Amino acid sequence: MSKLYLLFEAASGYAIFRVVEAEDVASGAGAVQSSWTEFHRFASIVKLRAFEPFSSADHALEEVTAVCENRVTPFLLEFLQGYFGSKRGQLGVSEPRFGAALQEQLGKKRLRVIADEHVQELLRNVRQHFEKYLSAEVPTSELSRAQLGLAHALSRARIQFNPHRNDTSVV
Amino acid sequence: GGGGAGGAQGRSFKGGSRVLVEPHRFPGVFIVRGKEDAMCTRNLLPGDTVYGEKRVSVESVDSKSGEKSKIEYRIWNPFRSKMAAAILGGIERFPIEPGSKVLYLGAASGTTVSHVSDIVGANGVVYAVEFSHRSGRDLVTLAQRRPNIVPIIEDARYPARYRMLVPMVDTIFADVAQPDQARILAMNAAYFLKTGGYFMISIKASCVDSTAAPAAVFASEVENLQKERFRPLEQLTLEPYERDHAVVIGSYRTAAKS
Repeated sequence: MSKLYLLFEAASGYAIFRVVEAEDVASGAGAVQSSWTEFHRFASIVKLRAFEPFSSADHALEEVTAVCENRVTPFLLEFLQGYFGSKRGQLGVSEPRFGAALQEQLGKKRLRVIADEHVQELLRNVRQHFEKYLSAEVPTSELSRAQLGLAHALSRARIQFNPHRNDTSVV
Repeated sequence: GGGGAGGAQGRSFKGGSRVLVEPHRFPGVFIVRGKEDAMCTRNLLPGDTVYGEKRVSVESVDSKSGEKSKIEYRIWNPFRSKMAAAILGGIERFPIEPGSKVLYLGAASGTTVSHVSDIVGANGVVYAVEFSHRSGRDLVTLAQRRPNIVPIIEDARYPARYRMLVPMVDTIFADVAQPDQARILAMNAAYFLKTGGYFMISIKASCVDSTAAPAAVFASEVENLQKERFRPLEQLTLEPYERDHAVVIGSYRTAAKS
């Protein structure tokens, strides 16, 4: 059984998690899954292994825009290659098309990118607990502020640079 | 009623008529008592109007210091907001309160979103998703004045596109008026709605199936929701404010009580 990793894209940076006890998790119907709402239970099977923060708000905006369009940035590729090196395993991502783009960049040899329901379920719980995973390094308030600021910046950029817009009223 | 539980109350003589504001049983919602009663929310941004709505200002006196201050409320019209219509229509539970994180699908220009922003207050957040760029522009402008609104100009059918911007939320409100709205709600819930969180969906019968009877459409939509791990807890039609509309409120990923 090959090792399962997860890629989580946050407003503040990219994170890699490692799933231990994979068999148990795979069987995870009802009872097992409901225990995941507790951080200590979930954190005992899904461990944060690496976090690469974005260097600035502008950088974050670039990364989010790329991920939105299923593009893999050199920054992300470098982070993944740096962490995995010659390790073998499976890397779970949340978007299949983004996963396909990632697989193409990584090559087919060692790391297989997957995006199935099981991965979705795990990532859903990573989202639930993400602030707690990072609480040692980044204060919770800072993480939510980063997310808020980024969303505002992104929506402003969307409105300003939208090529489809046709209603240029001057009132 | 059980009013007066810490809610802001006061009187003003604006316009010659005496106005009293009482807290509604749902925290964050208020009722103006005057010549005619009206529902309102406490203005997060006193002095500012969003869509030309009426405002009521009352003087409140701090019970300890005796200091007077003005509190402003914005009238919330049930003919212009399905959420307001549902509250006035008598829903039993309203899963949005001060401090809530809410994902709002189908935000349009943000008239109802602005009231949700009042209700959740400075400690809550409204993630407002709207695909139309025309409405989106209004939403972005609104969000510049109200930092607790996060405008997301995306198609709610592709939650993956905004996965980096939205954390787990307490409640999803959906008003997308699409035939596949149950699926749209489900996809967003899988990403962003916490286990045990709540959903509230507005269903316009003619948007789902214009030939079937509204009651049959509502029943089949409720069934669709149940297949997606939603547990509907109540359903209400929005007469007399909207025709052939219903709201369904319920919880997510909770086991039915046996």
